[in-house]
Amino acid sequence: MPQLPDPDDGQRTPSPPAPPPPGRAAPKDRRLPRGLYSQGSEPDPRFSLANERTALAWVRTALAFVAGGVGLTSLARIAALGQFVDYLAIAMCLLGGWVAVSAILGWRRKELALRTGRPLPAPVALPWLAAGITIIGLLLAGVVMGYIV
Amino acid sequence: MSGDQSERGPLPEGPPTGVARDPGLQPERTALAWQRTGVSISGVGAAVVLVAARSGQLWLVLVTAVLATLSSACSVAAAMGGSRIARTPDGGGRSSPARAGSPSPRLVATAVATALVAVSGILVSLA
Repeated sequence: MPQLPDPDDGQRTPSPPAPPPPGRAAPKDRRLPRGLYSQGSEPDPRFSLANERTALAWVRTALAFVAGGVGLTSLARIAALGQFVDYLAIAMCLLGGWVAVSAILGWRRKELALRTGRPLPAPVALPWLAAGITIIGLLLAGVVMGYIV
Repeated sequence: MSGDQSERGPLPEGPPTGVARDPGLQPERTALAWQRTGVSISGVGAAVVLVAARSGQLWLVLVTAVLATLSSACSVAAAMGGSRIARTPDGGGRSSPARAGSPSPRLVATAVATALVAVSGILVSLA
């Protein structure tokens, strides 16, 4: 199967395991979680860094949800939008919290795949996130329609 | 499409010579991503406290202020740890894997910070 070039990080190249420094023993790997770093071999650092940035982008997505929820509840106070919008805001905050957790779990799964040379796992959270946004958008559209009609 | 890799230029291969920089500036980009995330958490935390202040309930202001301070501290600590990546010669430290440390504790701290802000958002919505 031909590998697609990554537009961000260049071709995925296998990196040789780092040779131990001559003369003394290799420093002990203190990185956490041990269960992750004890498996496989050291990947190309660029891919680990890209994985880290992806996880951070998920965290910022989570923050956007929380910010949206807080903004919504604030708007509900100003415009007296009613209880339903407040529940929607709570749902958005909860969704934001879940996205933040899935950022870490996804980072771990991908790092493990990089270390063991397996194909990267599918972004499981992505369809659920899109579904959540769709539902919230539809519900908000319903609220807006209620004010127009 | 076949000449993809040659157009990209040579990528650093094998163990670095010590001062070799990644031409893609990956460590710098990662450190900046940490900073963006930290600033975002602090900003959203401040917004929650402002919304709480508008509600006029003192307990809510106090609780959200404490949560926002905690989450900002988490994100600042995480961002400072993230900037350490940029100071390692080859980014991730291929020659010494543990040099930049694992991002895992920083990621957990950042997610906890986000969760704290989310909790104060829920409190503000309920009040």
